[in-house]
Amino acid sequence: MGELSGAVLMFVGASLAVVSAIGIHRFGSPLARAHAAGKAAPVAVVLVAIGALVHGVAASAGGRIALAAALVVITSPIGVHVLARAIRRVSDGHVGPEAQGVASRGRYRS
Amino acid sequence: MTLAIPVRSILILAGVAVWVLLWGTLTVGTVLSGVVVASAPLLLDRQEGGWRRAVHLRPLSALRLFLHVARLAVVGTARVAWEVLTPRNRGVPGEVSVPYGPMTDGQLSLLVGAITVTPGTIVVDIDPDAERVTVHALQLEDATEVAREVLDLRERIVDALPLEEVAA
Amino acid sequence: MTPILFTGSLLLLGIAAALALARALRPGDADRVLGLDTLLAVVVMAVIVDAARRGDDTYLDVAVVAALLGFVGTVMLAWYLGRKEIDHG
Repeated sequence: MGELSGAVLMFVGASLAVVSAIGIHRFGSPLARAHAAGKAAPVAVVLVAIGALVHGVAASAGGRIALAAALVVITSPIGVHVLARAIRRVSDGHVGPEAQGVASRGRYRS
Repeated sequence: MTLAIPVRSILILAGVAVWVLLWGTLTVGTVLSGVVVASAPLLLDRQEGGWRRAVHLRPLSALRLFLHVARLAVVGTARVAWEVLTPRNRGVPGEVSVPYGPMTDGQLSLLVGAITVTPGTIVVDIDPDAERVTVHALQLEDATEVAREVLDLRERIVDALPLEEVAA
Repeated sequence: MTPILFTGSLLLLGIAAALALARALRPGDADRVLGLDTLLAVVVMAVIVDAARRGDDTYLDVAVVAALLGFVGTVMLAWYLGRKEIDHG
C-alpha cells in the first residue's frame, strides 16, 4: 500500500516537473517564465521526496532525501527572486519585446 | 505565548540536523560531532553578528504561518500549472509597489520568500529606504488585491515573529 | 502498478530534463539560467526516484549537492546578469 501511494506521489511530482519545463518555453516574457520555473519546482521536489519516503528507502537514505528537498524549498524562492530582480533591471534599461510583458505599473498606497 | 530563542541555538540545531541527516544515522557519536562542527564557526567568529541576538517566536502563529504558506505554495503551483496547460493565458502581467512598514531583515526575507511562493506573484525589487517591495504579478487584475495579499502575509509574519529582538 | 509508475516518473523527468536543457540552449541569458535551474531540480528529483526504485542510496549525495549547486549557481548568474547591465550603461 505504502509502495503504491509513494509511487503515485512521485509520479505526480514528475508530472509537475514536466508542466514547469513546458512553462519555461510557453510563457511570453522572461518574468512570466520565472513564475513557471519558481512555483512548481519546490512543490514537485517535495512531492517526490514524500513519495520516496512513503514508498520506503534505506534508513540512511531518508535523511538525505529530506535534506535535499528542504534545501530546494528554502533556496528556490530566493533564487527566483534574485533572478527576477536581475531580469527586471535588464529589461528596464532596454525596452524590447521582453519589457513589453509589463503592461501596466501600479503604485499602491495604504 | 512568546518564546525568546537565541539565534545561536537555532544555528547550532540546524547545523546538527544537517550533519545527522548527511550521516544518515542518529547516534551519540553523530550528534556530538555535529555539535562540535556546528559550534566551531560561531566560536571562531569574533565579530558582532546577528547570531548573538535572540528572535521572538509565537509557536502557534508560526505554525499557522507555515500552514498558510504551504497552502499558498500548492495553490500557486496549481494556478501556474493551469496557466501552462490552457492554450490562452488571460490577464496582463504588471507590477505593484507595496509599502511594507517597519520590519527586521529576517522578517523581510521571510516576506519576500512567502510572496514568491504565493500564486502568480514574485518580488522583483526591494527598497529598504522607502520600505517598499515591488511585486510582479502574472495576472494583474486589481493592484489593491495584490497589495492586500502582501500586507496580509506581512501581518502573519510579524505576528509569528514579533518585532522586538533582544540581546541573548 | 508500482514498476509502471516508476518507469513513467523517470520518463516524465527525462522529458522535463530535455525541455529544460532545450531552454538553456536557446538564446536569452535569464532564460538560460531558468533552464539550468529547472534542470538541476529535475536531477534532484530523478536521483530520489531512482534511489527509491532500486533501494540504493549511493547516489543521494548527488541530490544534496545538486540542490545546493542550483541555488549558488542561480544567485551567481543573477548577480552577473545585474552587473552586465550596469557595465553596459
